[in-house]
This record gives sequence, structure tokens and C-alpha cells, in this order.
Amino acid sequence: MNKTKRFALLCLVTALFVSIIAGCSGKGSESEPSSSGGSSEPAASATSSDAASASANPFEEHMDISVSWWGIGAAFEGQDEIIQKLEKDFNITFKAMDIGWDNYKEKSQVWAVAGQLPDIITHSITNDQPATYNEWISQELIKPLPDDLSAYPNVQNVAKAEDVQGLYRDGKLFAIPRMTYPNTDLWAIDRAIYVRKDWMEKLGIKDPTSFDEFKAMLKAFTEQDPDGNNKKDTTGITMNTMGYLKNLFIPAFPQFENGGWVKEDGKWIPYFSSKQMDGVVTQARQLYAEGLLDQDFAVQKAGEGNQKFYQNKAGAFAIAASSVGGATGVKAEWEKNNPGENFFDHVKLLHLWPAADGTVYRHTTISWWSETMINAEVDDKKLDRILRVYDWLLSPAGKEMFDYGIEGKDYTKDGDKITVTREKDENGNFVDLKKKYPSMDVISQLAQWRNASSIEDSESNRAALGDDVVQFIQDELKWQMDNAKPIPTEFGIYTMSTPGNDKIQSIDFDDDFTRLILGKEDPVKQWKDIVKGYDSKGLQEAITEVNAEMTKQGK
Amino acid sequence: MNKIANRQLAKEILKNRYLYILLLPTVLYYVMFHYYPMYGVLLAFKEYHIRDGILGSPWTGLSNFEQVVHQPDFWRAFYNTLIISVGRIVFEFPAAIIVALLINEVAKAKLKRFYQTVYTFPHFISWVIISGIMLNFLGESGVLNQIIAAMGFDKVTFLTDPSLFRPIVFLSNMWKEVGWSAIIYLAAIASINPELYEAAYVDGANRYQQMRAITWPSIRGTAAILLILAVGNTMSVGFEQIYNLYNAGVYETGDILDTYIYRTGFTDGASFGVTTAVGLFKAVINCTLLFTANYTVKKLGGEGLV
Repeated sequence: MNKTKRFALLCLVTALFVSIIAGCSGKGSESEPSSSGGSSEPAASATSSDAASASANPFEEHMDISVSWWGIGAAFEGQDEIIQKLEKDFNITFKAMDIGWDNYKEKSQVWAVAGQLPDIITHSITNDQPATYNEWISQELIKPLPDDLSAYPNVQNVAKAEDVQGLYRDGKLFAIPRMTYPNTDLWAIDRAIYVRKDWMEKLGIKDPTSFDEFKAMLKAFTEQDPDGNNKKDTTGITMNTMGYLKNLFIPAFPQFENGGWVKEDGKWIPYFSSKQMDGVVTQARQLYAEGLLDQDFAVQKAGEGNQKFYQNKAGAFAIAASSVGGATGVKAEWEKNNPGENFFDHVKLLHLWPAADGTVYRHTTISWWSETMINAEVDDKKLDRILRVYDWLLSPAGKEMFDYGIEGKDYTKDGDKITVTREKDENGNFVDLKKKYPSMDVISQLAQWRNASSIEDSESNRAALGDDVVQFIQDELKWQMDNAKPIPTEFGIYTMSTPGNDKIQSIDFDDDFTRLILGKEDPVKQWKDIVKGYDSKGLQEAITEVNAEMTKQGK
Repeated sequence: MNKIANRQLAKEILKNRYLYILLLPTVLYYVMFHYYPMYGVLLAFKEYHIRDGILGSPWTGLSNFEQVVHQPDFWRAFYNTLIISVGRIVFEFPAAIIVALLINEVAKAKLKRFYQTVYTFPHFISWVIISGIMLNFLGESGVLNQIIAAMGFDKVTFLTDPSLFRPIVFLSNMWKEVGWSAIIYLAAIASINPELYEAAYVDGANRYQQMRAITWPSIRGTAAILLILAVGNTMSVGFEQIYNLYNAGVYETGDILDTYIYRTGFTDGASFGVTTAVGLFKAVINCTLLFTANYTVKKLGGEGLV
């Protein structure tokens, strides 16, 4: 008996052993095609002998293209008609590689190290970590775009935009910046303070015209029981993320809000070194120490603060004006928590008071956020295909599809006149295209953010968002254009690459600012100490180098 | 002579070949996942170029270490790691033993199992969930603060107050892990010969005396080994817990080496060479402490690990 049993055991252990080895080595070989981006290479070499026919039909050869995007896995899973059309038109198959909003930087870094970056890399290093952008270029991880982009006119337009020039390295562009708006004016509605106008009326508060009045309003929200439930359970202001809260300090120090550099005493310095920070840190500390700022802001993850506003626990809320509409927008979420009430009867936008120079300033920044980069392993043929896809995504034809869906099915076209024919939901509104086609959200924003499309006063927006939402956004935009000026910003320094300026990107300003707000010692003194600590991270070198460069440019 | 010994060894191995084969997957696991990746520590002495790989990147001597020791944040993290680790050994380590002894004293078997299950259960909840629960519980509008406010006191910012962060870390980890850590002691207690207790009972020993004279000496060896292991892990004090619980407000008392490495390496984009240097530094200290603790336990007459 023993022998058979032992033999069986031996077989079992061997099988286990072999499967472990196989499992491990399998993983290794699996990763190779994507690292070399070469799944299409055999095909490429096969057809390269026949260059003439390839040039006749640029889409003849089928290609697999891997692409990363936030939540792309779920969006591409259903293979809806939008993605099918794109894949068919360009004879490609997309391989989705998922990244998350919380971890995309880490994930891309790990892919870079493991040699597993996708062909189309979605990242935000040109904005957030220019030092990493430079490093990836010098380590040849990403591929430059061709010098001559005339075959892809829409991509060329992006590459020629004024502030994009700062992304060229030795005359070559290594990224397609994902433009947010067609012009920097539209940034004005990317920041806003929502406020409960019903609470203001109840407590007899007028629109604040200074920080002190604003503070007094928040104090009333906190202490005078605006919701009338006889409980002291309301707070002054909450936020989506720290970035939106900064809007509040524009009057104290405009460039603090967009992280710009300022010229002070004849020298360019980053905003955090400026004397004007004294006002910001004092105000921010006051809000927190007096219990007017959401006391949990430092521990909440992005979006968790929103709930306090939706659930009537906060009187003011910092997020984008353009976030009002849509299925998960501020209006929908608020109404979900307050059934039967109309959002616009209770909430309005608060406009900021003038800065020390008497001017009202509004948010503005560089014209893109995040970018597409091409894996260095991608060959020229595949690069051509990717650029053709991008050129189409940026074209008017692309926009039409993203606005209206599929022609003949979701809309009809007679000359320039478009009639929306897609189905309606139970409330009589046209169904959301992004719900109908889950891949739409990704594909429509791959080359360019769709923010501008979603805020324009168009037939498709009125159909999808409702008249009141479109009007709300238009009114706000008009107010900002009529009454406020963009923050004076030296855009060139955002993308300026010097050893010191690259190095100070590792400064985690938001963490330090959070610490300051929560701190107990004198805020101005504490801030000075924090900035002194930046010297060890290369601050002085950065200032010297940036000034040398600015002098060269005559600024 | 040697030949005979060798032949005998070979014979023994052949005789027990099936046991060796059973051991093989474990050995293989360690070689593949723990020893083979070890060459990565080379990065601590290199400037990492992604394209050139770990072996191909150029050597830079000790410059990564130099860079590390000049960072004030590093020393803060180093200091916090030591404090939190000592706190864990002082507060958390004995807690499991106490819980095991207490559970053992519960007379009814059913009740004993009930307590054991209740204490063990939190071990299976991930820190991500627990951090969410804690925010609901300890946040500004959380349950605890509502009680405090109802009693007429000022609300407490539990989660952003640097002086409260470490106690919260110890307490929450104790809540989560104490039942799980007690299992090993309960197992040791279960293996004690009941005749010993019967004899003690006949001799007139009360419950407390039985615990001191029988139970504790029987689990002391287990406790010593676990203590050595805990000391050997001094510099690794629970990344998952700290990462999920901390925030910029409590870096001062809560930022440990692991979170520091993670933040600088991945989020702020510092070089991998620098963060590997921090990791290596940590490992060397861990190793030294392990041997010191082992030596001390042996000197005190206990049984060591090596």
C-alpha cells in the first residue's frame, strides 16, 4: 500500500512544484510583449517589404495598442458601439490597462521600472512632476513625436500652442498635453464656492465683501443653527479637495491659488516664499481654529467632504462651478439627499471680494492638465497609427460623435442642422450618452478634456443637463468675465526645467499647508520655519536658476 | 571518517526523501521570493536608470546614504519608528498574553469559544475599512465627539492631533490583533498536562497561584521566542496601519520609515536609489536588534532562535 501512496504523493508534490515554476516563468514571458510593445512587430516586418501598399492604405495592418486610463477596464469591458467603431475605423484593438485616481502615479512608476508601460501612457507628470518628465526622456522611456506633424493637423495645433512650447526638450516634444479648455478664460468656472442662500436669508446675512464678513457668515452657519434642528451640528465650509479650498485665498494672495511664481523685490520667487503668504496662513489658521472649516478635512479622502454639504451639515462648499450638472454632479447629489427640493432654490455661488489692489481675481492656470506619452518601444508605424487616432479624436468629426453619439442612431443631420433622436428616460430627458456607451467617457477625453463641451450653451447640453444647469454655468461664466481678471501668471515657469526647479517639485506643499492649518504655534512663524526647511530641498538653487533664465528672456 | 559520515547523511536523506520533497516548495518559495530579489539592495549604492536595469545602473558609492541622512524628514521618521516600535513591545506584546490567560480562566467552554471568536474577528478586517470606521467614530461629527459635545465638553480632534496619534495606533492595533496573537499562547496553554492543575488543586493552590506556577512557566518559552521576533521587526512597525490612519497633520509623530519611503519614492518621485538606501538601513538595524535580543534571551537562560 505504501508504495502506491508514496508514488501518488510524489506525483502530487512534483506537479505542485512544476506548476509553481511554470506559473512564475509564465508571468515573465507574458510581460514581454507589452514591454517591447512588439505584439505587432512580426506583422510590421512582414508588410514592411511592401511599403507601397502600406502607404496606399495606412490602416491595412491590424495593430494592438495598449492604453492606460483611469477606470478604463470597466469602461471598455462592454465593447459598446463607440469603441467598436473606433477600432474598426482604425483597424486596431485597444488593450486596456487600468489606473486609479488614487494610485496612478505609483502604478505608472512601477510599470516604468518593470518595463511594462502601455503604448499610450496617461499621466500628469508634465504638470505635477516635471522632473520625472525629464528623467523619462533622458532614460529613453518615452518616444518623441515626429518633427513634422503636418499629417495630423489637429495634433499639430496642440503642439504649437504657446504654453506647450515649455514641454519641448532639445526641440522635440515628448507628450501630447491634454488640453482642458480652448482658452485660459474658461478656467474661471473650474473653481467656485457654493453657499446655502436659504441659510443666509434665514440668518439675515448679505453677500460678504471681505474676508472678515465671510468669516462672520461661516460663524453664523456654525453657531446659529441655520437648519433649525436645535442641534449644533453644522459647520462653515467644507471642500472636495484642498485644491478647491485654495480659491478662498485668492483675495489674500492671488498666485497662491494657482501655485505661480511672483516677482518680489526684483526677484522671481515661488509663491510659498512670498511675504503675501503671511495673510494666507493667518486666515487659513483662523478658519480652522475657530471651527469654521470642516474639522475633518485633513483625514477625509477626495470627495468625502462633499457629503457634508449634501447632507446639510455645511453651509459653504468648495468645488468647481462646472461640477454642478450630470448624474453625479452637485445638484443631483444634493437633491438626492433633499428629496422634493429644488437645488437652485437653496444654493448659489458666492463671489470673492477684491484683493488688496481693488481687483477681483479669478482662477487661471496653464492650458492643460495631464498628458499622453508614447512608450519608447512603440515603432514608427504604430506611432503613426496612434497619431491618426488622436488627430481624429481632436477633430470636429470626433467632437460631433462625443456630443451627439452615433449618426443615424442617436441623431440625424441635415446640412448643419442636427436633430437628437436618441431614446429618453422615464423623466422625459434624453439618456446620458456616457451611460449608453460606457467607453464614451474614456475615448472622448483621451486626447483632450471635454470640460469645454460640457459647459457650452448647446442643444446637446440643454438636452442632457437641463436648461437650468446650462444657464447657471453660463451666468457664472459671464459674471467672471465681466467682473474678474485672471490671476497674473508667468506660465513659462511651470514648465521651465532647471536642475533646481526640477528638484523642488518633490516639495509636498499641500501636506505642509495642511500641517500649518492644524498647527498650534503662531502660523506666520511656523510657515517661515517650513519654508526654511525647503532650502535643504534645493529652493535657493531653484530661485537662482529661474531668475537667470528669466533675465535671459528679459522678464 | 568523513566519508562514512557523508554516506550516513546521504542514507538518512534517502530514507526521509519524502519529507525533503515536502519541504521543497517552501524552500523554493523562500529562494524565489525572498533571496533572489535581494540583489535589489544593490540599488542603495547606485543611481537607478530604468533602461539599464538594476545591474546595469552606474555605481555611486555612498552618495544615496549621504543624501538620506541630510533629510530632516528621514530622522523624524527614524525616531518615530523607534518610538512606535518600543510602544508596541511595551503595550501590545503583553496584551496578547494577558488576553490568553484571561480567556483560559473562563470556566465555561462555550463562553470561552465565544470570547475567542469575538477577539479574533477584527483581525480579518483590512485597515482600509478600519480607517473608515475610525473616521466615523472619532471624526468631528463622529459618535464619540457627539457624546463629548452632548456632555458639554469641547470636541476633540482625535485624528489630527499629533499627541493622540500614537495612542490611537496602539489601541486600534490592540483591538484588531490581540485575539489573533493570543491564539498561539492559547495553543501552548492547551498543551499543558491537566494533571499539573489537578495536583496543584489538591495541594490547595488557588486560580491565581495556578496561573503563576503552572500556566505562565509553560508559555514563557513561546513568549520569549515571540519577543525575539518582535524585536527583530522593530523597524517594521506596520505600514498598512499607519498609511491608512495618518495624515499630514500627524507626520510629526506618526510618519515612519516605511511610509516615508513610500511617499518619497512613489508620490514625490524621489530616486529609487535613495529609498532603497533607507530600506537597507532599516534592514541592517532590524538584523542587529534580532541578534541582540536572541543573545540576551539566551543569556537569561531562555531558549533562543539561533
